[in-house]
Amino acid sequence: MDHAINRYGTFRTLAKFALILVSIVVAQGILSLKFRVFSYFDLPLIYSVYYGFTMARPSGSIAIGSVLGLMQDSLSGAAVGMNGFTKTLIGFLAASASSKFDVDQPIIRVLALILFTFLDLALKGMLSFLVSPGATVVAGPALGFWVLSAVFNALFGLILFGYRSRFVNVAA
Amino acid sequence: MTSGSNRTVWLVLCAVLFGHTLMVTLPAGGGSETGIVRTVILAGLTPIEKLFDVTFYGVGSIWNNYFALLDTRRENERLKAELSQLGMEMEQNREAVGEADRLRRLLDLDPLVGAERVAARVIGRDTTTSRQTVTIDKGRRHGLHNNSPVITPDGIVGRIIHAGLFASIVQVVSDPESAVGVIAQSSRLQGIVRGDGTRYLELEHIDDHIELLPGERVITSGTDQIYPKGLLVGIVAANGPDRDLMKTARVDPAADISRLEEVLCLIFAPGTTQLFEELEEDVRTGSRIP
Repeated sequence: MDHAINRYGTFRTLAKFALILVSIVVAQGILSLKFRVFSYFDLPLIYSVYYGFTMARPSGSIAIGSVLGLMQDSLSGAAVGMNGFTKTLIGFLAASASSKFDVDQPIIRVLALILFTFLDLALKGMLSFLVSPGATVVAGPALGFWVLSAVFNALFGLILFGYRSRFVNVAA
Repeated sequence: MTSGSNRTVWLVLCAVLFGHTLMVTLPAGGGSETGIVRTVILAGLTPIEKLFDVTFYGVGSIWNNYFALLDTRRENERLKAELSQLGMEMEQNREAVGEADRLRRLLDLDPLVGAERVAARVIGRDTTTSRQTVTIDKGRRHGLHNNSPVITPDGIVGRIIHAGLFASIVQVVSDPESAVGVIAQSSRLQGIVRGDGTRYLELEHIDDHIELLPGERVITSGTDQIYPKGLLVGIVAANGPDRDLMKTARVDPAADISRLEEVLCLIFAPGTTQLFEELEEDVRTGSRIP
């Protein structure tokens, strides 16, 4: 009986995570189409950091980042594995950082999101260059885009973390 | 975390990162073929995207049909006046259109002759921040394949880079990795139009003392073997900086790529674009008289 309940609980948790991950990637695609400003956001990146910081489970963060990245790659023009690689690494780094730093401080969260956005874009740039050395590197517009993307991700992440903190406080 | 579990996590991390690196470097990851991983995920995610799109569209149409109809009477009067004006202009243009149509038939060089057209709806935009692609709701089951050109009545949009079963990823001309062979319509200057991630395109052409004037139309040249010759790409907005032996110009894309809703995908029988080239070459050399 206990075994069946446990199995049901695990299935429910997995289904919940699957639903969240699919919603994040689909929302990213649809919102970017309907509202141009959303092309600056990277919702899968924000969630990878959010999960890493709040759950502090490196293995779970690796899985979440990997799945989110793969789905993101499949719905984009990027090579499959590109975002999988970066999101896996960022999820792991976020989870590892949560045990070393006080990630409940808003300033730490903002800095981390900015840093992770730059890391994500830089890693993707490097991987693109390794895969196709002849690929066009557009430095001018890209730098402005990186900064805007980092700012938007940090702001949205801050709202998400703030909402969670309020929810946890109310529950407590 | 104990040192044992710590080591396991590191091992898992290395294995997963290695797996992703392998996928990136394998031809199906970044090449022209659509790999199995992408095909499966596309097939699973695009129905959900379609569902969201239908919902958005439904809410939008309720808004447009019921709430946004204020001031309709005045708008109606204005449109009636505009219609009669356009009717007069159309009458004047009809003769010219007929003549152009006859000539096109004679030459048999209409860029869309021999192309099957599949209408598709744009249901999503690129989920990454570094690329310019859109997702459409048609795929291999509808006859589409990689490299099928995608257009709107205003101009070209791009080409399919990953054809899934029921949905496809279209690389928009403004994507940093997009390149289209083009020709300036009046100066006949040939070049390549590249995307740079912004809303403008960049035209690169060899400096041969021919000046491109702002306002000049840029059409596909057919040299890339993807787009048939003669489709409108954009309008020259301004001349750009010189780059070694190349001159550049900024081109405003003809299709409104930031507000794409419906597009047409073209399917050519194998070898059709080469046939166009040969036909035109024959006409130019005089071996085929229209």
